[in-house]
Amino acid sequence: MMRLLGALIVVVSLTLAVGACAPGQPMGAAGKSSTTSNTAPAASVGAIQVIEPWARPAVGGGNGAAYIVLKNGGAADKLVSAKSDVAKAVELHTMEMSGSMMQMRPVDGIDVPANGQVELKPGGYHVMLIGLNKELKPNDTFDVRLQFEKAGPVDVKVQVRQP
Amino acid sequence: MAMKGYSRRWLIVAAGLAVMVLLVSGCRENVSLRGLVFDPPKQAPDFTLTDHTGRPFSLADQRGKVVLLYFGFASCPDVCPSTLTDLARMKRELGRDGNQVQVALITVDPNRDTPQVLADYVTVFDPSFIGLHGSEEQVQQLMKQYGVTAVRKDLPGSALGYTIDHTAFVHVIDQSGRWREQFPFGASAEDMAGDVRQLIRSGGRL
Repeated sequence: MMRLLGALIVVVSLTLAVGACAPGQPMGAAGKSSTTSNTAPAASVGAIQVIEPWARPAVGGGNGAAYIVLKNGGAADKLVSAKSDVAKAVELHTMEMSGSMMQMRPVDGIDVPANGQVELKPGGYHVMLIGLNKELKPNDTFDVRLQFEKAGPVDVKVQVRQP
Repeated sequence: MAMKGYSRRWLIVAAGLAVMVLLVSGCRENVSLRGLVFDPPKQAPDFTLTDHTGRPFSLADQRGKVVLLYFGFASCPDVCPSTLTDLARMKRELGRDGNQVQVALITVDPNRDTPQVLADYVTVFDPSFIGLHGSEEQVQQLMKQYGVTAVRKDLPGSALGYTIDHTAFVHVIDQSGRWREQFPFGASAEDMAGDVRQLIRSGGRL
């Protein structure tokens, strides 16, 4: 009886201890996985579909970033530039982690692989909006023209929202 | 003989209790925090900077609150907003406990980030967030003390002119001014809220 009680205490304490000490889920690596690839395209040009363009809220005069998923049903292509009246300059940038240093750099273009997709997302590639001409408020939209090397230009409406 | 069996039983019960006490108390310290934990915690280097409204802000005045400190800059369009958005979400998730939290961004770009620029920038994320400004020397010294690296990188051909390569940790300082842990870039709002809530609920005894 007592032995049973002793064993019970050990089991209960082990359970408690494991519960209290269990390490948490490993923390998410930079960049959260995206589930946008099944969403209907906002625009398309040639074999390329432009999916869910969005931008963070940002202050006028400041900088902003827009993100999109580019899905390609054809041969390899490349996003070579983006233009918009919303900012004084629009550039394609990437974010790389070198050790624990975050480094943002302009890029000449963003490859869109054949029969594949590339995601522009926080912590990675983005359309950099430099010197915003107006505040970007949630639910606002603004126009961006994306220029692809092969498929050509396409106009998309970018929605401002919290990620 | 009967006596002997009796005490042996009690011995087993006592051993069970001892194991329970050991296991439960042994894992109380720090184990449940999910960031990169300092064990034992360090005293957070104190500082006095100017907040985005022009008032002095010193870390020592924040005792009683959990302070989340972030070194960033306002023209940073991607990494800093990602983290500040997560911190805003963390604060919402904390509900009433959120009143005992102060999020502060220390600019590593004091030349471009005037108090007005900082005011516009940080309050987009949450009206309670504070942007902190100091002289280049002050900020350099603080960066060293907090293990932060930020290096200006000229970007010829970019309208940005220059960017700042930087480490992007969120530093967690408890109610007693102890530097408890750091969260790397990409830490979730939920993980941060969970840890901050533990610190708040434990009243700094964790």
